[in-house]
Amino acid sequence: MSGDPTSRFAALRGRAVAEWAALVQSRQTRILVQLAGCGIAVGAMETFQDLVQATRGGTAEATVELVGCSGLCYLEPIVEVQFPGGPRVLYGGVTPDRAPELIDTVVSRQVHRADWAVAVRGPDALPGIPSLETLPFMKSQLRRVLVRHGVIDPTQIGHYIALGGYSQFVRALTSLSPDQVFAEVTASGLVGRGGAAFPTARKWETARKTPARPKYMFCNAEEGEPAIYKDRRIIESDPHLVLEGMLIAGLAIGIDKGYVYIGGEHHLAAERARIAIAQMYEIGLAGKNILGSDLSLDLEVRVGAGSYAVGESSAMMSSLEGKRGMPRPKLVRSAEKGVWAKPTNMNNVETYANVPIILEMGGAEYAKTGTRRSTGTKLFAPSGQIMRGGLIEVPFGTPLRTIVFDICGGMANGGAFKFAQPGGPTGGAMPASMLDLPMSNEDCAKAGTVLGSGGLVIFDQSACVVDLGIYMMAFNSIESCTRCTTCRIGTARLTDIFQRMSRGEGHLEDLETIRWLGPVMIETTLCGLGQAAPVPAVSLVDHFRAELEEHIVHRQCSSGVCRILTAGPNPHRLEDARVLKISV
Amino acid sequence: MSSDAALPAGFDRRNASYEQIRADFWPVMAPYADLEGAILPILHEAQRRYGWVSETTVRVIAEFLRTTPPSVYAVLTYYHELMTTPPADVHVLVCAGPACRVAGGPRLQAEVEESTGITVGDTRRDLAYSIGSSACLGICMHPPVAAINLAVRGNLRPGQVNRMLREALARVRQGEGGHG
Repeated sequence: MSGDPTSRFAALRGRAVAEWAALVQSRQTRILVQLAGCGIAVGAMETFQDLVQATRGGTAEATVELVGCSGLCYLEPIVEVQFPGGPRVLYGGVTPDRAPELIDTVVSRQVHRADWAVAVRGPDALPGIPSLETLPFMKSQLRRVLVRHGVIDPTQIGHYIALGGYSQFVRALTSLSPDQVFAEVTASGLVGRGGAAFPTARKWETARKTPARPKYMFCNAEEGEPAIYKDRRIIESDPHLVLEGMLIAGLAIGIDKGYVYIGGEHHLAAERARIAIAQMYEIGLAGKNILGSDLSLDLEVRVGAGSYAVGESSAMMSSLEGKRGMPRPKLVRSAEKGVWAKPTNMNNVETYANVPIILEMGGAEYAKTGTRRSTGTKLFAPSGQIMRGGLIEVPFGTPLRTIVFDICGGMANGGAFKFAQPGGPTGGAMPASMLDLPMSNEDCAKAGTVLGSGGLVIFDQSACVVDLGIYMMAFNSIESCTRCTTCRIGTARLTDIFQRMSRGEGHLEDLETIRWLGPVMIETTLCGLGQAAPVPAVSLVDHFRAELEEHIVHRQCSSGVCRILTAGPNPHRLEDARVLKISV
Repeated sequence: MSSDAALPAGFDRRNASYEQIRADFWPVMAPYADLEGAILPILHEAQRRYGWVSETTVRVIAEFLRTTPPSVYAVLTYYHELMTTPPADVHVLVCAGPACRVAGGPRLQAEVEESTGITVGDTRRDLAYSIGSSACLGICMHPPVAAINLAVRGNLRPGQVNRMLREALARVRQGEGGHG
C-alpha cells in the first residue's frame, strides 16, 4: 500500500466500515456470545461451542460471533440475538444446558422471548423488553471506555476501526504536533488509573524532556491485587482502545518501544493483546514507518508470572530486565532513567484507554466530567454481597451510595450494608457513614481511604472484619517483596494480630500496636505497596473498634465467622478494659 | 520450535535427565537468543512444556543464557506461578479472594480438600491432585471460584467440584489434556 498516512488510513477505514455494515445488515440471524474471562468461568465457551455446533448442523440458520464482556457480569453467560433488520437483544443466563432452548424457541422461530430477554441494545425498546440504556444497572453509568465492550469482536481490528477507532491517532499523526497532543492531555487533567492518581501529563513531560534514546513505554496490566479485574476486561473486550492510546502517547513523548506487561494469570488478556498487536503490524499501524509516516514504534506483549509487587512501576522494570521483580529506590525518576536505564513512561491500561477519548472530546471538554482533581470517568468492579456485580463506569465523584444501591441494586439476600472495601488489600474500609462520599481521589484521601484502581467489594453484616483483616494482611505479607524490613515484618505482625483476635486471644494493646505500626510502615518503606499495606488494618481499628474489642474482651464473633475456641468473656481483658477505661 | 510440540518418546517430565532436557529444550529457547530480558519468557516456556521448572532445567537455561544457575533460580523462585516441584495431574487453585471468602469460598476449599484427601499447599503422593490457593482469580461476581488445571470456574455449587475433579483426572490420564 502506498500514499500518505491520511489516504492510507482512509482506505483502511473504508474497507472496515463496509465490512461492518455488511455484518450489521446481514440477512442471516446473528448470535453473539460474550466471551471474556468472567463469562467463560460460568460456561460461555461451552455455550459458544454448542451454538456453533447447532447452527452448523442445520437446525437453525445463523452465524455465531464472539464479542467482549458488556460488564453486566451478573447476567452471564450473555448471548445476543439479532434477526435480519432487527436490533440486538440480550439474553442472560444462557448456560450450556439452555443453549438448545435458545436455538429452538428463539432463533428457529425468529421471535424474541420477552420472558427471557434482558434488554435491547440501542435506545428503542421492544414489546416487553426494555432498552439496555434504561436498565437500572446502566442508567447512572457514563460509558466512554466501556462503550464498545460487548459490541465488537475484540479479535478484529476492523470492528474497532469501523466504529471510529484509530482516527484520533491518525489525526494526531497528520494534523497535530506532539506539543498540541501534549497540551490536550494537560488540559484534560487526566490522572493515572492504576491507584496512585499521578497526573499523566507530568509523567509524559519528564520522559519527553529527557534527551536519551531509545525511550520506552509500559502499559501496566499486572493487576495482581484481589477483587479487581478491569484492566484484563478492557484488554479482553476492546484491546485496540488501549493500543491507540499507547500510539498517541508514543507520538507525543517520542517513544521507540512499548511493552504491554500483562499479569501471569491473565491468559486470555495476553492472547487477545497479542492478536491485536499482530493485526496492527499487519496493516501498518505499528512497527517501522507507521502508515508510511516518519513515526516508528514497536509494541510487544510481555507476561508476568504471578506477583503483586510487579505492579509497582520500578518492580515491573526489574522484572522485564530479567531480574527479581522487586521495587527499587527511585533516586532518579523512571521517566528519566527507567528500564535499561533509559527514559521510560509507565501508565495503567485504563489511563491509556482514556487518551483517544481526550483527543476526541478535547481536553477542556473532558475536564468538565468528574471532580476538579479527578477528571473524567472511572471504572469500578463492584462485587461481594450485592444484587448486580460486574464492570461499571461512572464519572469521578459519584457517591458510593449511587454505585451500591442504584447501579448494583443494593444488598443481596436481604442483608444490610456493613462496609465497602475499595482498592483491594490496600484501601481503608468504608463504613455506612461514608456512603455519601464522592468517589474521587481527593475525597477518598481526605476520608482516610483510597480509591485505588477501582476494586470495590461490598459486604453485609455476615462479614467479619477480623476475618477480612486476616485476609488482607496475609495477602500483603505473602506478596511483600521482603526488601524493606518494616514491610516484611510489619505485615507478618499485623497478620498475627488479626489471627490471634480471631482465636479469641487478642489483647487490647494490639489495637494501639496497629495504630502506631501503620505510620511506621508508611514512613520507612520504599514503595507505594509497603506504604499502603497497613492502611486497611488502621482503618478497621478506626471504624470497627467495637467489633474488634468484642473479639478481644468478650471472645465473641457476632458474624459467626471466627471459630473462637474459648467461650465467654476473658476476665483478664475485662480487667484491662476497666484500667483503660473502655466500656465494652 | 514451539513449546506446544509433543514431547519426545520416553520423556518423563517429572524425571527427565540433563541430556534429555538439553536436547529437547534448546530449540525451544533458540528464538529468544537475541531478546532483551529473555529469562522470564524462557521460564514460561519451560513451565508450559514440562509443567514445572526442575533444577536440571535451570542448569540448561543458565547455559543457554550464559549465566549462572543461581541467577536463573533467583528469578524462578520470585514468582508464584512458576513451580519448582513436579506438578500433579490435576492442579486445583481455590480462590481465597474477599468476594469468595464471604460467599462459599471456605466451603469450597473444604470440599476440594475432602474429595482429594489433602490440604491446601499439598500434593498427593500418587501425584493425582495438588491444591493451591490463589489470592484472587478475578471472577469476583461469580463466587465461589476455583481453577482446575488453569480453567477457571465460577458459581461452584456444593457437590459440583467433586465430579469436576474426577473428570479432569480422567481426561489427563487418558492423555487428552495436560498441564496447560
